[in-house]
Amino acid sequence: MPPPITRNNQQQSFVIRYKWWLLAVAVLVLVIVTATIFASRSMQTLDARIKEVFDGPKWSIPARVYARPLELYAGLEIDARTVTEELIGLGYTSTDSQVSRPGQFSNRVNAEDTTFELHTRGFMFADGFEPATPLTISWNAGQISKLTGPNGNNIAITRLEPQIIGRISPTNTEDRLLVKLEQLPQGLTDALLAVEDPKFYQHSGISIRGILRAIWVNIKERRFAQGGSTLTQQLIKNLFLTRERSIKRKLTEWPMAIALERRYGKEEILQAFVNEVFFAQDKSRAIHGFGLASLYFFDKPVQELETHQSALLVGLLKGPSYYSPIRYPERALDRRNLVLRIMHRENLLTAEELVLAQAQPLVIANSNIDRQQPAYLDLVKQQLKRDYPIEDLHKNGLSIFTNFDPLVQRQLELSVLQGYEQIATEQSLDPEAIEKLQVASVVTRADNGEVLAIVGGREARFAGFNRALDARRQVGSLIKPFIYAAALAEPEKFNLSTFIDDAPVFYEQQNGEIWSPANYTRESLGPVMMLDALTHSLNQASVNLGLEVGIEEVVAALSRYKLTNQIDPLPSLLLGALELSVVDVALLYQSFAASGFNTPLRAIREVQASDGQLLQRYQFRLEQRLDDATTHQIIYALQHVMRAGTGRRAYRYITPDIALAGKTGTSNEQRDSWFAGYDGRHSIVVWMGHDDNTPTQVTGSKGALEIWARAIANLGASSLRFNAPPSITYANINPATGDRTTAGCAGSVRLPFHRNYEPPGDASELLSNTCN
Amino acid sequence: MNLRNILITTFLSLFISACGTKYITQPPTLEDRPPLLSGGQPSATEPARPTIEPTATLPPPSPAQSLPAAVALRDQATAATNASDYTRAIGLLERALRISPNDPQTFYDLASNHLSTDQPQQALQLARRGLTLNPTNAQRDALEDLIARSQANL
Repeated sequence: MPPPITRNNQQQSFVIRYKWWLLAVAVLVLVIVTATIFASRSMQTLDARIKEVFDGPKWSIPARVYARPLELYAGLEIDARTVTEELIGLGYTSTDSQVSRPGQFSNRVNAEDTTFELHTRGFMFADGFEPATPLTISWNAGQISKLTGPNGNNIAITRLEPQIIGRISPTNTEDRLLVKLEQLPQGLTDALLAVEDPKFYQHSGISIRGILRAIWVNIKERRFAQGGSTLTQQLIKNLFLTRERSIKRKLTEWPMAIALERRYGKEEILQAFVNEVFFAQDKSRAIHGFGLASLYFFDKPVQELETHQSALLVGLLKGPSYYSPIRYPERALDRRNLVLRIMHRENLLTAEELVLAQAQPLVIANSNIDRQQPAYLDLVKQQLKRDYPIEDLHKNGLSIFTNFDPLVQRQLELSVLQGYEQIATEQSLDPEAIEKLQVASVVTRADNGEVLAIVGGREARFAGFNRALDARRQVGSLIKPFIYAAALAEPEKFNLSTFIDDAPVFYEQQNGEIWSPANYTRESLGPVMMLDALTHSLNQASVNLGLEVGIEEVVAALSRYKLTNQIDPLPSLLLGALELSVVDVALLYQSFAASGFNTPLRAIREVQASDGQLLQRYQFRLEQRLDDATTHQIIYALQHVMRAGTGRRAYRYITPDIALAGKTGTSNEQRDSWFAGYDGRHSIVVWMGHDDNTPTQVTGSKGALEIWARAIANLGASSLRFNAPPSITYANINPATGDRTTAGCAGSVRLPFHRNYEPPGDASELLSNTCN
Repeated sequence: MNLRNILITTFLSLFISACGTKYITQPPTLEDRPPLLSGGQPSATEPARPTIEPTATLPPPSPAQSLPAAVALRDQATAATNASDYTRAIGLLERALRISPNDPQTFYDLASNHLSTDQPQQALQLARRGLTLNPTNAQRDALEDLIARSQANL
């Protein structure tokens, strides 16, 4: 008799009957639960990782260094050609028709039509935003006479955006210029989505259709050929994962893409994508993001891209090397035209627009290299490193605004070239000698010490040994004005008419050696006025004066400047046995150019954070080093050097109505040739010599003076200002006696004196106004 | 005998001093030097002494005029100063000085802003620099007053 069928039995038999199934289900549930726990755990981890990267600074961005912005205003002495040069340097395009958008200028400039139209781009300066504006510039007699805005309104002043002159980055690095989504032309965003991810605004990070299509293609081709990635996935891959194509990576990529979409909006994701993508490798620099790619390939900001240019960039994303417009222009062109056809298919372009865009040739910019200014950048880095850790400079996307003036740099480089040609012909130097002859120069603004241009060697754009900063060479007679200034600071003892002895010197040094410098002519001229001794750079007279003033006094005067070298109180210092860099000399002479005020040489104006916040301003600072009476007398003497002394050759290039001040310097056997001096606007120092410190074949100060004078002339020489302060009085001197005499007496010289220390004169002669 | 002694003594002393001293003659510095100007009456063969005249010796009756662009920037700076935004004012005044570097008024304004930002040393120096730019009598008085106030704050 079979046992009665109870409920319990029924259950048992069910369990027994389906025990394997049940076990499988139980295990499955357990696995699912465990997997869910793990998945949610790992989702949390992924989410946290995404948040950390996405909310923080996503990329290391090297500091970008900018030139000064060109300020335009009525009264500015500049010609239309120079403004055009600046605009071309900024990647503006000229147009024959009406100027209609930012980044354009009209090329309708001719002799009778002295107006010029352009549309500025606008720029976020450290002190505020300069809006983009249409502008008409009118000229009159070599200067801007009027600036008018779009409604004919008068504009007092406006600024063009500054050129980028370099970056501060480690050797191998990614580079990008961040852009906001709204800065992209609509055509570019449309093309990007149409080609890379048409369903971007619908999917939630991954596209099932895309995945299925990819699986089908992969099965068909029996390899992992297609990923079916959405933009979100591509972003995840670039930001978080390796470039390797594997199932494992896909399995991480999918959940991360979903997590990213859950946390962030479409716009944020798209903005990150357009800044992340890789476009090209430029030597050690990787070009990322549309912002930099636009500058790199087309030399203009992304806002100004035309349809065919946008299409080229979008097309590049599939294979930046394979479709490189630089290496494979044909492939790039085909790919660009394919993108344009897709745009047409998606109704983003009309048939006519398509034809027009496809007809555009592939024009790739190649002007980036010219704007790199390695020599100036060295100075910028040197000054930045005092205030910022190198990490910050490499990573934080700082904007460094400098005083670099590309127009001045161009004139300085031109002057160097002209100077070399002149020296080679005049002094019949063979090519080998010319090849070996090196040069370094610094141009600053005479009144405030802003560094405008630097040449660090014969090859001005070569990033190598920077002689302007790093070569320290004997300054020779450049030291003399500081001896004379130290003397003139004691007006009760010295003035320009004081007689000093140009006689042999025998100076016993502490080690018992006798130091005995000679004059150039090997002759001693006997008693000479201080003015003449400096004008003719007499060695013995200057040493005797220095010894009388006291070497310690001269050292003390020089030590107040922040020079890079220690100054030893040796008598040879009085003849310039002191090794200084060109920048050091520029700092010393700046104090004459700025009427006795020392102004630190400044390369940097401002440092701005990547969010536009002003981090630091490098203010104009000054400190009076020479009293005004001393300054006036020394500047008188430095002008006398230019008119009648060792600097007079400069007037071969400059008209005599221009007042200049300067001083030559040479060291033993022509190892160094220096010239330092200034006009009303620029203070310039030039050095020439051999790197190995061997004697050069250049005679006298001709080398450096040649380049200096040409630079002053090429920059548009202007007279220095030479105001007589109340502490100064002018008096007529008999140069034979140094005594005061009456104006009009033959041979009398009118010289400046400290008001309280005029030299004596024959009272009766002065009173009766007669000559002796 | 006496003469011989003198000669020997002279010779020895010369010899000893020659041992003790080493003459270093610094080779002459070559420079492109024009003929020295006459110390007395000028002659036909020598160049005349150049005339070097000061740009200005007396205070001007009316203040120097900066270019309109510099004046516009100075006005903006005044507005910034009135809003106590001294850093911005200083930046604007420095721009104005790049355009018209020789206007004592701009130096006065710049110095005042430095004094307002507790930088009396710079204020003092800037005001002194203003004095070198041939100010009018009124400008001189204002700059000297600013110097006195800066010195009081040092």
